[in-house]
Amino acid sequence: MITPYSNIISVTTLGANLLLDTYTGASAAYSLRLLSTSYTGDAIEVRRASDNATQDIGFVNNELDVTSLESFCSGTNGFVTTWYDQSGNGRDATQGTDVNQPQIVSSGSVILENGKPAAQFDGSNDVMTASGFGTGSERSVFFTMRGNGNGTGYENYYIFLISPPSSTGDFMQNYSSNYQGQINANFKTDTLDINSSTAVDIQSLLTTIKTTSTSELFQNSTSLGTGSGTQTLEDELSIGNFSSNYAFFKMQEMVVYNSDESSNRTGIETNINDFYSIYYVATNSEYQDVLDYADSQGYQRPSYAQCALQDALVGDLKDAGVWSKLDTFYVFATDGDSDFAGINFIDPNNHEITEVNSPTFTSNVGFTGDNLSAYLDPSYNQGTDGVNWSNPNGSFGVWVDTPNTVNQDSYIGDVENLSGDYSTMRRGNRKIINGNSISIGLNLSNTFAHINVNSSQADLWYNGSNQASLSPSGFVNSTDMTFLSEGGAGAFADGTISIGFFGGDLSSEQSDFYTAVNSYMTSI
Amino acid sequence: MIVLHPNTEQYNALDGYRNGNSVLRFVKDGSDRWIVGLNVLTDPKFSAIHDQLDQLERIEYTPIPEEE
Repeated sequence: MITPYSNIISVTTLGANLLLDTYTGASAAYSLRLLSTSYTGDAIEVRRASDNATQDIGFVNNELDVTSLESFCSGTNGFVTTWYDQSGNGRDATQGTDVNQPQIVSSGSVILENGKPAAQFDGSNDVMTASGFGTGSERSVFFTMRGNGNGTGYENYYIFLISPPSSTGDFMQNYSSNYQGQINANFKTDTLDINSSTAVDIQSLLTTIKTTSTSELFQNSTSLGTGSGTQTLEDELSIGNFSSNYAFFKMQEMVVYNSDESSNRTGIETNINDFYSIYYVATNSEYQDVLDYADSQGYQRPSYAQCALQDALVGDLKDAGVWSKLDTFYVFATDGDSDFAGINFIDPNNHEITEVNSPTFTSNVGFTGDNLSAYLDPSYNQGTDGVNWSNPNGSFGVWVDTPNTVNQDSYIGDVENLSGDYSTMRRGNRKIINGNSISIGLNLSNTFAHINVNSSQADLWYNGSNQASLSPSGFVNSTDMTFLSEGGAGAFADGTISIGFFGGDLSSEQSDFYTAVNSYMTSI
Repeated sequence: MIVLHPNTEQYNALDGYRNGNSVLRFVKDGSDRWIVGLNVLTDPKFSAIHDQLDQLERIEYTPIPEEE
């Protein structure tokens, strides 16, 4: 017996491992958390809109002193006039003009991104500047941000240049022409440019490393491309603006090194990610494979919190001995996108779901058929693709969120038995298992249904409870399995399914299987 | 229930259209006619062929007889 949530992972390391204590030598460091134990200054200076008074805001328990900030800006808006440099080099980022200052408090409440304070650049006229970065040829920038919309012109999130706003020289920048479909690292030397079609409409850690002869851009620790070439860099920094372009985004942290931090990159990124919870790093390598595949295909991952739940589900299935007996396992109920919902967790490179004729995907619920022509095709033939499914031993099942409305309609089809009849999982009470008529259909909501056949017995379970046991004739013939239809040829469903699987004999593990799946489904 | 029904030329042009993980594949209704549900008209994955899909004949769906 497994314990629900036994694989929930703790990811909170608040206040531990201050970044600049370990990774020294930063040229500048702007953050809304404390980055160095040797830094005794404040985080930001804030102007409140009600009377334009200003006040420094420091840290409590290594995080921004939100209590003091909200007290100072009680009932009004607050704007960042100075973002103090924690590196010790005094390269503070400033904005003296009121209308150009990014916002940190809205109507008395601090602006947040993923639960942490963030400065909002409005895409209209907000910009902060700093100088003193020198003109060397190496620079590494770690930038925690999220695009919120398309601003004015290009989204120039930051740029090192000769003199803001438009004397470029040997510039280096992160910019986008569409925050929902692009992020670029851009240089004076074109061969150093890295153009990516990756969106920054999610909280992102953008790392740009320029060495004496190369460049590389990372989003959430995944490389988006490389460049090569030589150029020096410029002395001044503009955050949020170049020329007449203003970027619309939230910023939480920027750490700049005038050096090649390639060898420290993953360590620095891990420190930042541990605090901001930007991208999930799985405990189970099998789930990390799923996330890596999703990233490689450009699919939208689930939320950080849901990744933890799915990671725990994988761990629970492994502990229960289920994982190693599955050929495919799909988690349709996710707050990732429909493409992520179609990934085969057991082997992300095979048996990915094809959505045929537009079944409806609903976030955190799953796929719904149309009773006419829509279904899900896993490209799985149990006779020819089965690894753990070895005729006559095999199993299949779904989590039904909403049942079909027509008795003949199938949640899963088809597999033939010795009698030549199709065994399907359907709403009605005929041929639901092994070709034999039984008086049990599947017309219940929120039900995990599991059919298992081995050499001695065929069983049907709902939510871990046995509904029927029959003498088997066994699965024999090879057929293409589908979800939400009877083999793609008819009996199309109009119900909604949240989980789906095919696998080997799981008769001994079915109770733990249900427990693990139920823990996930009741947690999302 | 109204569904979309292609002629032979339309069938040949559209059947098997794929965009990413989404595919259009006509199926037979109870009158042995190729059909597809109206969902495809609003699926953004099929936006490139929405104009062609909109040209398909709209017919009344014939349910498939229930198997024994």
